[in-house]
Amino acid sequence: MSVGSVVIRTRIANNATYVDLRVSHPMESGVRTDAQGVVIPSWYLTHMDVYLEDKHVTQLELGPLVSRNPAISLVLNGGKEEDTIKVTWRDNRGEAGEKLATINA
Amino acid sequence: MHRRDWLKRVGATATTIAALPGNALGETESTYDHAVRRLVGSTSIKPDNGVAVHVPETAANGAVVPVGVVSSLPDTEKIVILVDNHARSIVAKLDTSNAMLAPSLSTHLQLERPATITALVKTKSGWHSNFTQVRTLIDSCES
Repeated sequence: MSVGSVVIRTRIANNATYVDLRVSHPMESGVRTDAQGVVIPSWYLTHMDVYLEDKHVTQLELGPLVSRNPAISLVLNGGKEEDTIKVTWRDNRGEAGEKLATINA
Repeated sequence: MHRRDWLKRVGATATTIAALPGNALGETESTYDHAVRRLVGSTSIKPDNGVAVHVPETAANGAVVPVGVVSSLPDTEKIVILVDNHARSIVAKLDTSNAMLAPSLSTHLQLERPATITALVKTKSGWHSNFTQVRTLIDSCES
């Protein structure tokens, strides 16, 4: 997976939609050093936004303590099969991206 | 950290309004105390078992420590996850003010050392919190 690629997995249960997101990203904290002792610059996701059927549901702000290739789980009240979920992201380098998926039953 | 110490610490940091500059998480929150101050200002924080924090007491891999927070408090507007004992404190902030979103958040942390994991939850009635500790890391994520 390239940096910024997003995998969205969904399932519906008990009138809720369980959304599991995984974003391919190094999430460098800025405190680690390489083999030569040089600090590796910080590079991490700062924001993710989630939309259901083009309606903004939430914004998640992230810091560099989130693990590499972040896995995030959220629960939506409602949602139905074939509804569209959109996830957008941006990081501290100003890079950004988005991913669309449809809800699976 | 013992519960009494933690309560004293949270109470102390909540008594002063901070005016720290900042944008993205992690670039400005240099300490746990500053992070809490920036979030809650002078408001008090109530320890509350309606905020559940799930982390393993012993983590096999500090680079991937699962954390889950669930709020059973009515009108939960925001969930914030913080850690102490690290150069950065705020892990994530989730806006739960939209009724389309359940007040829960799960992700993974990268920890360099054992830490107290605190969840702050903002509701219409104020700030609430709970915490738990990762006491042991078998492998940390230090370089």
